[in-house]
Amino acid sequence: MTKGEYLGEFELVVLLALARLDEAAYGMSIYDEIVATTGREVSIQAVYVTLNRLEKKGYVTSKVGGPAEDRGGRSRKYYTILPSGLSALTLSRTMYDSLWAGVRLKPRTTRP
Amino acid sequence: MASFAIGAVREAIRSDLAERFAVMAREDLLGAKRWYWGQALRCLSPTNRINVARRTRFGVRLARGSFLSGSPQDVRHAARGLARQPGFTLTAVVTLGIGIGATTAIFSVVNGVLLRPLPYPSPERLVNVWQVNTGWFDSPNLSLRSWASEFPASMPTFHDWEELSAVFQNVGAYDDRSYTLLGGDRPERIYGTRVTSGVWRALGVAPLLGRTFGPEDDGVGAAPLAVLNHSFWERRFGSDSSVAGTTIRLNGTAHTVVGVMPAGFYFPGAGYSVWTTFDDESKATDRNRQYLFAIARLKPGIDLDRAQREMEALTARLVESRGHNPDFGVRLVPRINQVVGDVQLILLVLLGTVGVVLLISCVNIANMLLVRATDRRRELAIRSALGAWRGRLVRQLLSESLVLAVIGGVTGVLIAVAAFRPLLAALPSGLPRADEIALDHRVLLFAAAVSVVTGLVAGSLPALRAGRADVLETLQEGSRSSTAGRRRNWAQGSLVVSEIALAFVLLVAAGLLVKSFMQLTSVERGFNAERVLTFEFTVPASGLGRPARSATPRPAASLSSEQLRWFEYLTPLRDRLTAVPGVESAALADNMPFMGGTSSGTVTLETSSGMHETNVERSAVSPSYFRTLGIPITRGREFTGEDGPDAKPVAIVSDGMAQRYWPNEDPLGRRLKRSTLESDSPWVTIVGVAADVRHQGLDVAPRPKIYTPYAQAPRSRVDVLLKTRVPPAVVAGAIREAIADYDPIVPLPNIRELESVISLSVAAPRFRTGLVSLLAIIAGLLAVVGVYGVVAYTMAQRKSEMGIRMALGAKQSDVVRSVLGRGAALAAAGLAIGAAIAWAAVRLLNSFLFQTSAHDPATFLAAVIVLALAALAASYLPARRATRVDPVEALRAE
Repeated sequence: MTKGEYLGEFELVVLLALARLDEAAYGMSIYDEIVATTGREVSIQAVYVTLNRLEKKGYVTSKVGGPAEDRGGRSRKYYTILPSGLSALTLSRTMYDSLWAGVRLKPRTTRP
Repeated sequence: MASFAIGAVREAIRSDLAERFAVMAREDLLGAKRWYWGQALRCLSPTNRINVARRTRFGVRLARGSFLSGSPQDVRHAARGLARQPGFTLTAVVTLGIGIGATTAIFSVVNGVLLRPLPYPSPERLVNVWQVNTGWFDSPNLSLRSWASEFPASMPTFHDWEELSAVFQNVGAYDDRSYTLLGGDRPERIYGTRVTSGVWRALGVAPLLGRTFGPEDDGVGAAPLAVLNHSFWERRFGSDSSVAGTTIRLNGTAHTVVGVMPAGFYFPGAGYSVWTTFDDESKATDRNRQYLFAIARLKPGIDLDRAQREMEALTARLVESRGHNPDFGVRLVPRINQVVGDVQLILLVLLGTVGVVLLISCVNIANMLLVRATDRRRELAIRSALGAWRGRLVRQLLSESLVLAVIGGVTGVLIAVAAFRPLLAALPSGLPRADEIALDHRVLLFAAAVSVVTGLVAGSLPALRAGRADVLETLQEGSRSSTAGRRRNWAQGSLVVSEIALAFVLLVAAGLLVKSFMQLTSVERGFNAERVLTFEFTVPASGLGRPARSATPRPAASLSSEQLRWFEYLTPLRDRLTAVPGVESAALADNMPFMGGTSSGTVTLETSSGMHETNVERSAVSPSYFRTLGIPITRGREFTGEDGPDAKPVAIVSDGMAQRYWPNEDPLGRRLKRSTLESDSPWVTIVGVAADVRHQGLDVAPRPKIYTPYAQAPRSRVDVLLKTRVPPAVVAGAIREAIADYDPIVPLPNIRELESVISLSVAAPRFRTGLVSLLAIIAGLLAVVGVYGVVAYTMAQRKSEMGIRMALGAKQSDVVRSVLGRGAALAAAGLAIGAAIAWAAVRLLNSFLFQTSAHDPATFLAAVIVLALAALAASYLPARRATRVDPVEALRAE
């Protein structure tokens, strides 16, 4: 497994948010999902940059929707997660699960 | 990487932001904006920052560039364009610099004198309180007229105001004093003000050291106190911080110093060194002694109108309850108006004048830009054809003029800085608040604002015309000159016409002022100031200085013992001064011409038509006064030493007075009383008639006047006059020595040449005449440059036409005539319009003109001739060049 197949932290966040949403996910809805579930203040630009990278890695695909009435004629870019994206998520989860196993978060007592 | 990614998803981001902004804005516009910009800023990498920012102004104009978008490029573009044409740029910058610089310099004076707040807290609530006497408004007596609307109050009246006024938070009374200060190296003459404690409370400025006066110092029996001015404290006491408690002797009275005021504080004007309490005698003066000025601080929230109404009501009540003189009303004058006085009008006229110069430079720049825009017509048309938004083209041209204006503004500020010191030096002395004139932030802000407005005004016409350019026509027309230029030429022509019109107005104004000034300085004065020195002298207070040497005290029924003492002090001094080598004659006068003062009073005249009571000017003069000043005695005799205190009372009357009251008869031997007929004042016999003298200023016509011998009406304060045989400066030292020798404790006088005193009296008219003339010359030059520019440009455009015409046999003179014709037509239109404007505008100058009609035809005609000739000369140069056009060359270019 090459390094490129691991998901970076924010890539994981974006990909998970995308996975939680329906297929009608576009930048702003993904942004909303992240803000709502993590409480993190992120930038829309970071979301798009990450989506763009994920698309280049082949985990997601996008298509431009028809002009929407409420956007003043501008079109949305809709993202869909691909099977390879789902397997990357699975892989990532497996990795994190095994890492988490046996981790105690209580501080150790200092050595005498 | 990031920037690439941004590029790929830019549209999506922008759409998302806009959509969400629209939703959020419905709830909370401010929050939405804040969120929007937070998001937008985080999108930015340095390279695309401008890009995003300029396309998304608060999400309002997302699709199309806003009017301001792309400004940095426009500015860079403009700067490059200007750098490519250094000649054009330099001319424009210098023109603008002169306009903006002159405006800024004059504004700095207006700012310092009129606009800066006075150095007291809430100065807008300070007012001077005066009595008014409406009965005096059209009195024949000049000084009563001048006092009518601003007459001082008596001590009891002031106390009534202090006690009963409901509109004053504080009110204080004050008057001016000059003091002989003893101690130190030598006696010194200083100016001070006596104040009640209310003055300090009204002004509201805390002392730097010690204290000011309190209510307990106002009562009879309180110790004499003094507060020192900061610079006086520095100079005389070396900034000694333990000065409080020390004693200074002012006119022989010991005053305890209680405090020092901070630097920058002044009251009532600059140059007052000390403030003292009133002496007991003054505190007890009655209602007939009206000598106090009053300053009050209005209660917060009470405006001037209301204060005036309430004070009028109070004054009416005081007539009943306190025996207030019913002839006197009351009037409040805002302190700033009191301080600034009548210079407001002239300063505003000067600002207007300089504004016209600025306007002319603006028009010149507009013209130059118009020419440039015309040259770039094709460039602009092509860009327009390629889809450049029209607004963007307009904006590009405007940014060019703004860049010019900013550079011009900086140049202007530099010019203003350079002109600042000479301007200050040229300001007439006596200009109020001259010390407060500075190039402060307000002046710089003004310069910046003027620059921007200038840029917009100058740039708007060319820019708008470019915006309206017909693309198709321009492109089809190619490089050929054609009739399309007619409209543009019309615009240029009208700019030049307006320049000439404006310059004409200024030239007329300057011409009128110059003519008036020449009238003023060449007016018949009635005396000869050549080689005359003068100084003020005050006899030291009783018990000080040299004792009067009256060997045999003569009984002088008509004089008080004080008056006799003054006379006996001054008479030997005059003899001593006459004996100084180089001095031809010496004289004394209680008030002499141009020293600022005049006194006038009621006289009763014995005429062939009976007794006549009137009001005339009066002056008490010593023997040889008329000889010293070269005032001809037309009949009878001058005063001599024989006209002493106990001799028969005599008088000399002025020519004007003799002609008015004793026409067709000899006034010699006639009698008059220096009072009303009923009074027991002695009868005075007229022994001479002297020529009329301008007393109060060159612009004030001589009034009927009587002279009495100084010995019969002595004063403690006199003007001393010395006619010298040698240049006056040579004897000044010897005169000082003679005085110091006569009485070592008197302060040495400030000896001046009478001619320079007179010259000082016309300093204000000289200043405004000089300044307006200078500005008019600049305006005229700018206008001429404008004419030259337009004619030369038109010529360049019509070069091929000229070539063809000459090839077809036109004579050189025809070509010259046609070019000159254009210049002449412009000049004629400008002069006609200018004459109309000037005819209406010169009324503003009326109060500044002396023996000169505002509609003086000679001045108008001279201005017409000067400008017409200048315009023709400016057109002649391009015309000459036109004749040298080589027909072959011109046609080849076609």
